[in-house]
Amino acid sequence: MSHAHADEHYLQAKGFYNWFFSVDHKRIGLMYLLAILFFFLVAGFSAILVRTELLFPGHTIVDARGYNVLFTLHGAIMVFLFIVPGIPATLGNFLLPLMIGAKDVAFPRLNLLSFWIYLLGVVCVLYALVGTPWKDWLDTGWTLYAPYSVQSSTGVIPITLGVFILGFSSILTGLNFTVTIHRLRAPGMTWHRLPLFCWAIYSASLIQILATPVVGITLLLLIMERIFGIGFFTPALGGDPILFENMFWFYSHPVVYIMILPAMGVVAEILPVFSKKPIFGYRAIAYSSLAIALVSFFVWGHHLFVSGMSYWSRWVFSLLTFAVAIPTAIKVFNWISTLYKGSIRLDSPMLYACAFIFLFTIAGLTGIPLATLATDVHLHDSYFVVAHFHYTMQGGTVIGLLAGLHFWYPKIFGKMYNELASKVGFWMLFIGFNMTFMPQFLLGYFGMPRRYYDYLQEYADLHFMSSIGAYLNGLAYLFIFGNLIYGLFKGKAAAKNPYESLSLEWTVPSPPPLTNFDEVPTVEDWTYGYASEQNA
Amino acid sequence: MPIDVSGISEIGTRVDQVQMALIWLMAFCFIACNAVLIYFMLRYRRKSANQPTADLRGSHFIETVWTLIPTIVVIIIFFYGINVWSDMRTPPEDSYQINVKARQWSWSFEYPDGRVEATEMVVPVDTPIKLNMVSEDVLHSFFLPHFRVKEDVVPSQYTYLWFEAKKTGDYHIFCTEYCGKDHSAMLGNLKVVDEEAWQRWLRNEPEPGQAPLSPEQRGEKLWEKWGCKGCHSTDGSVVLGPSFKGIYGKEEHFESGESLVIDDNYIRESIYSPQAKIVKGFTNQLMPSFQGQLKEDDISDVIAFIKSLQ
Repeated sequence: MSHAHADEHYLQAKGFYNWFFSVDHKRIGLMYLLAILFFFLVAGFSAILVRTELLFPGHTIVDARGYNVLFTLHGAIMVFLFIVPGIPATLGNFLLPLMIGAKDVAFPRLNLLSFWIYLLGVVCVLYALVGTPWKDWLDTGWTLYAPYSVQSSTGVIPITLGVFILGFSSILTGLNFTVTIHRLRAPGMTWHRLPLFCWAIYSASLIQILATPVVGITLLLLIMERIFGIGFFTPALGGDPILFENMFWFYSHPVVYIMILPAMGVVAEILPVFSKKPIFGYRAIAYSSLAIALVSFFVWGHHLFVSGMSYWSRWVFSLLTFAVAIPTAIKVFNWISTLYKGSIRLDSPMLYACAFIFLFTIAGLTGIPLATLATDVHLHDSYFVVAHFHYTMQGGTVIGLLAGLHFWYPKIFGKMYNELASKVGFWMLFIGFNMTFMPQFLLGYFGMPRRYYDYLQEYADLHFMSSIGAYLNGLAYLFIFGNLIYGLFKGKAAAKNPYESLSLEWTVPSPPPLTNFDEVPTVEDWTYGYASEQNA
Repeated sequence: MPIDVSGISEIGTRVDQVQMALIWLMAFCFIACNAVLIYFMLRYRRKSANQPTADLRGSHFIETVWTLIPTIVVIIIFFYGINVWSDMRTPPEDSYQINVKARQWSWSFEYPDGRVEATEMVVPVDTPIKLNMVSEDVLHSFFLPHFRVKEDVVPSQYTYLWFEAKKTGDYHIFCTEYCGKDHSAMLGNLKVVDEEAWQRWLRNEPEPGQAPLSPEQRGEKLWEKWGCKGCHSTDGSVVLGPSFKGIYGKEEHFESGESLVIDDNYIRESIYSPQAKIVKGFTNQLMPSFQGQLKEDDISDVIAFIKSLQ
């Protein structure tokens, strides 16, 4: 794109070549966005099928194996293809260079490579899930626990290979962002002026770099065991199945913070803009992201609380798990305090951001009985965990992503969506989501185990209610995305800075020019000086 | 549904006390945070474009306070939880011990006198019971929701849990670690009986006023209890293995190319060494052996049951 004019915006170029071979961070971010939202809808649809099967006890639409395939499909696609790349690969890619006043990420070509690697991983994962005859579709659950995954005749090797490949994509993106934040900040953009979204992406990137290799090794061992019969995890071969659980969660617990930290970053950007107030406790929020990233490496054992792990391991992991609660609580208190004495406009990005806080308090608080050993034993592997997890991942990460999409939509696309329709969509989602997962807390507390095709009659009412909620939840997404797509074609042209943000990405036109900034900006103050009364 | 389990066991009652305390705590924090959030959203809603806003950037004092309070609270909860859990993990010395074996997709229970039962575990009331558990294939998890106890069942490693029932009755046994196709059918029943019924059960006597079962009926019970019905139907439909309907006395062709008329010896061999003669076309799902679980008496009951399905 050597002939690009400085005033040409990044969306102008058409054609496959200009996108698929583009090293521009904005185009790569947008391609990622398209890909992950597609997989979000696919995995969401399989969740609808799962909930339809669970409408009534016994056979509803599929048999037991079909059900196991469906929840595997849902979990594997949601985790590996949607939520791990998630906010960093999309909004992160698009916004990070703009927010710190850079023309691109540190390694633009590596950035494109990581997208290509992602697509290669996608092919492998899809082959394992749906690329073979029906009887070979993967049915191990996304967790791939040994020894079931060693014995299963389904596509365990292709999916492990796929996740292994996706891991490289994740590591390269993390590396790229880390270097970008260290090296490419504009003059005056000191660490303590860095937008909190960048702090969150930075923390998540560190986890991506440090934790992902472990799952790579784990999956490689699983492949070796299946192909060569080397005993790592199968007792009959001299292996240890608990070893797989330890190694798997050593990655897969930190990874939930790769998913949630960037969403927290999005919320921290939106609250001050829509309250016209400085973010409260900037440093506490920034450092608590790092603290969460650090602690996330020491709590994987809580997934093994009833696995046969030793008494003292459980004791120590319970204590360490509680440590996560502290930085998380600090963040929530600071977010809420930001609203105090503000001038709040409740446009849809702000509604999503406030819903994030509301739902995340439920997600966080229900983590307490799961960290407490006495109560976790009963709740472990029950629907309570399913509900808790979905409150963090859907109520947290997905709501955070939607908050960000609505907030930066005018910047990314140069258009505005219909505000009234987006509010309608928001309330559909809010009600549908809570109706789906609130009953699941009760189901879990009443002893309903997870991953059950069939259930006892006594659980039927709550399951039915949850499924009805899921339909509303699904419908809400169609409505929300429909509105966003409609806005692309029929929306009004967006102003440069419709929400009067002080952050650097809003100083460039909407959509941004290919080269971001005509000249490198100089940063004079931190990003959050919104108050009308200075030093009140 | 195990909602109120107070009185069923001491540990379960204590777990629920912790749970109730946590529910109150969660409710308090949830309401406190969100009441403030919603109040601020409404109270400071923008009414005019130049509504003044305060330049509040943070406070070391407030940050310290709201770091210390959650820290103290979680430490208290941690020790409160550990206290109950520690007792949950410490079986009394004089516990009655039962060995539990898990396999895809059934439970079996071996009593100290060598007796083996499947699906239903009978235990005496007011007696601490310790389960020594191991899996024969993949991971499983043994869960007694009414007793608030659970522990994974792992191949090649013994795990344990203990409980003491204070009330007679029937209670659920669930498998809570995903173990393949029929994970959700891997259910069992815990039958807690009084001392008199327990002694009668130990001596294998029928309950008073009940006629002893016929061999066919006993065979049918075994077919249900040992999970045979998961793969072998009685109505001619093929699930994973051949149906039992009308197979007795019928000539069958095997994978090896041999053929044979199905008789008592073939059935016995197929229960103890299922891989010896596999009926043609049934190699997808291999049946596990029931050697050491079904005794000779049981085998003849199963044969009687299959014979009756003509």
